[in-house]
Amino acid sequence: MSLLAAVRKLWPSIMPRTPSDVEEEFCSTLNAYEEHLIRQGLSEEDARRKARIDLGQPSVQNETYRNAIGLRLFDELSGDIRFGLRSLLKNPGFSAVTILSLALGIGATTSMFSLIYAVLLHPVPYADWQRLTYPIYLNDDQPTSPERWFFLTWPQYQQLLKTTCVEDAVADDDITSEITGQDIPEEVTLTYITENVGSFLRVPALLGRNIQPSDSEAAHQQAPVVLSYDFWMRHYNGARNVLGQSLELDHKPYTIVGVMPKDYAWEPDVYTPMSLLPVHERSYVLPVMKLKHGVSLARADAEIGALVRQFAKETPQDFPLRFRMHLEHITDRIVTAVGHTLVLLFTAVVMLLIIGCTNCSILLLARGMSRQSEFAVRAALGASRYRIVHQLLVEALVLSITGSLLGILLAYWMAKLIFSLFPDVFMHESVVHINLPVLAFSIALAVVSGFLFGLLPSLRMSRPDVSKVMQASGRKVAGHSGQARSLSALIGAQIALATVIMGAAGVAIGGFMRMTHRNFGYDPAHVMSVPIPLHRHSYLTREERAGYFKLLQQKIAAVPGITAVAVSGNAVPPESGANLPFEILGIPSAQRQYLRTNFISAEYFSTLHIPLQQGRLWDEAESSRGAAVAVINQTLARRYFPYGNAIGQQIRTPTLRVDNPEQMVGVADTNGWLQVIGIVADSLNDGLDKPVQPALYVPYPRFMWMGNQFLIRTQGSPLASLHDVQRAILSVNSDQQTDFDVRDLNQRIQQQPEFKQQRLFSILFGLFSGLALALALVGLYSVVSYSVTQRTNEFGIRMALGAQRTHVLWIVCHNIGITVCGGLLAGLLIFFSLHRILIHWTQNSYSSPLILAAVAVLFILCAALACIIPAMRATSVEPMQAVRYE
Amino acid sequence: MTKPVELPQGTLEVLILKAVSLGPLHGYGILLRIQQISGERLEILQGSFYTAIYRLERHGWIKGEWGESENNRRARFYSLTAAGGRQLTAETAKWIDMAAVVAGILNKKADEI
Repeated sequence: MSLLAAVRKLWPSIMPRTPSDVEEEFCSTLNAYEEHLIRQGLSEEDARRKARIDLGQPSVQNETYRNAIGLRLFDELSGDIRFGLRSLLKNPGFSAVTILSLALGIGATTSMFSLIYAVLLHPVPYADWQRLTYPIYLNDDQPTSPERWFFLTWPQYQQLLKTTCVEDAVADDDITSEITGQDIPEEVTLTYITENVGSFLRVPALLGRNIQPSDSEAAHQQAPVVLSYDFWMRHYNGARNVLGQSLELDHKPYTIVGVMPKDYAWEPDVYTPMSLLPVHERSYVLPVMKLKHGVSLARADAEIGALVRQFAKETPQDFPLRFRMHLEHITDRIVTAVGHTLVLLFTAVVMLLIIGCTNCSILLLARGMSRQSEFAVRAALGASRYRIVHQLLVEALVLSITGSLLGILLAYWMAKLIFSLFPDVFMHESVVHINLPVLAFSIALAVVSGFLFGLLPSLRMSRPDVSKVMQASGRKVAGHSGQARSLSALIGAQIALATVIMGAAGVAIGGFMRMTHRNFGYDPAHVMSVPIPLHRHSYLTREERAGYFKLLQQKIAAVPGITAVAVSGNAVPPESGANLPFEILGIPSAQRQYLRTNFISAEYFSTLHIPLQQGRLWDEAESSRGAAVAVINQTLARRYFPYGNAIGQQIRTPTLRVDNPEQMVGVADTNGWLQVIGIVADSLNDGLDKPVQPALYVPYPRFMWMGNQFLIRTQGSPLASLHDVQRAILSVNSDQQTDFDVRDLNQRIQQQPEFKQQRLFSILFGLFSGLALALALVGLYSVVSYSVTQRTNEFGIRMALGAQRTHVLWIVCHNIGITVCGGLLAGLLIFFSLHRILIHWTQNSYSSPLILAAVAVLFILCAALACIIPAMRATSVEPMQAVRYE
Repeated sequence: MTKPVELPQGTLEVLILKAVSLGPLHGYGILLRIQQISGERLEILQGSFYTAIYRLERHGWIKGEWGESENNRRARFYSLTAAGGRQLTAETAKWIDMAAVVAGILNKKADEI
């Protein structure tokens, strides 16, 4: 069919004839036919009648015309929609409750979906991120020690580039360097990165540019440096004119050529081309490989694994004796940790949505009972069952789409709220916002839920028993049993779901409480950490520096309200100590072993309430001269001295050297043998959720950087004493910088990412379960109050016949009670069967029957309230009034 | 008078097409002509006449235009379009075919099967 013909065919549907046109034509034919009949001999009246019987009524012609054109569906639909909107407005209470229930359910589900979409489907902004992998090895001898990132030598990295499954790779090597050229030294991590990073990741820079291949040849110009977003905010306060400025690192000038955006979190601080690091100085590089298209992880594992085993033969000291290597996607860690919980949350909101829909169903059913006569009349006038169901479904859809529009607003607002309250919970490389797929999902959800909750009521209400309803004088002695059964089933389902959600929330919250009240090994309450950085060219010798800190420590200890002070070089928990390889005298080891070396004063343990379990701590004299003694923690003792003979053994960390005399000072034998003199209890030193690492505690005067921290324990709130502490410090040295952002140790714990994540999830779960409970109770209340109203007549008769009030109450409550208990049992059953999955996925093995018992009791109490209130209302009416009630 | 034959809607449309094929007519005229050429033997189902007209117009087989009838009254005249003509030919052939086949089956004697 040509385009013109197609338009001509559709034209009547788009531009139908006007009703007056249709009517005029019909009337002219009608008159002509009438006259014809009169000519044939009929009387005027008979002719009129016969004409109308044969041809039809003029008033109906427009409808007939529109039907014939094919506009019937459109007309019906628009009529139904208008009717639906009108009845929405006429029943504000009912509409408010249903729309709100739906909005909550749809809004929560939409925001969860957008979260999942962002985190799981688009977690990082790097091009081809699904193909980016890095190698990890698992030490067979230390299966509990975490898998560690791989470090290769430069020639080994070159070989990696030549394998067949690797398309490209970047490598970086970072050093801790110092910003020179300013008064207070500031530490930054300088990352040397291979020049192909720009085309590898393809993330456009926020300002300027990223490192590019041409930088490898630019030897004569000033070296370029690119800043990370966090560093740019921290050091330059987000000033936009940093491009072209000079940044001096370790006395070497660099020109700032770019700043990367916030979600580009490749490595910390600042980046510069790898070519600036001479090859012989490149110790170990960290590779990330982009696999070629279509190369499976297994194949890459095999090929690169073979290569790595070859490396292990070449440089055996860098690899464990027995290990397994595999490649991991860069997003795996986050996805595994967070993915499961997100899916759980999503399931919870879907259940919330189902509860909301059930609520709407119940309310529709309840309202429908009062519309029986309306449908009876419609059916009597000729409406087919399909037509009535159609109308009711459209009404339900009007409700659900309105609810979903409100829900989208809610979702947007909720997502914003969550991310402003909990920044950095997820890989900060993902950006969450409401976008087109999410909107489409929400609308689809609205349609599906509309059908879901509209179907049951419409099927029920579209089959009115016309004769019965028309005869009924409005009195009902007993309710329809069919309706009551549906209502009970719905209520039961609601309660079951709400129970499951509340149980899950209990597990999440319990797990969080357990993490926060876990035995950290130290007592973070009332302790703060105050950093004391040194100006350059001050306190140049070890004795001067140690003496200065000792004096400060004494002065601070004299401040009223301070109960303990300790010096710490790098040992503020829960992440503390420098990760260094170590050796034990007399116990050689074929591969590298690592421990955390902490530089502290002996008061560290008493300040943090870490008990000494064996041996002794060092004294003042040993501390001042930087004696070669050390204390170890239980993990180190148990793992390397299983026979309990740790005291008296000798340990050393051979790589600990005063590399940079301008910054560091130390005793002559920093890497010499230390004698173990004591064993202390374990305390967290590798974050909140990882096991304790073996740790070595050494007197701080042996090795100091340009500054230390003071761990100060106070009687009251630590920050209240901060001012006095600062004054004490300034009285020793009026030049000492002290106004850093000081936090107490509890705040430090709360800033750990695991903490924030668990907290977010438990709050969200708690919120959803609260909503679920509220919705379920609303449904319960409306059902009970509705059925009580229906049965007011009956109660009046019963009471007039002599029934006691309590008996009537019992009638009301015991039916609902059975439903509630049934729902509760079903919910608990479901919860138990899903229990194991829940535990495994939330990765906390917190399971306590207390939670479930508490949930059940809470439910029963609330349900009882919801039942008793309307029941009381019913029984408080005078029996004679109740009998007359219509 | 012999009992009138009732018409299903689909065939009414063909008959209207046939009536209009002999020249443009207004609604009443079509009615008359159908009654004329059927020898008053067909009874149109109540209210089905105009439904058929609207449908035919929608399909584009007849075209309607306002004009003046014999007694100078406004009336809508319908005429056959080219597509309508093709449709009429096709339907006519189908009817004749079908009638022949069915009549043949119904006329078969028992021993001829």
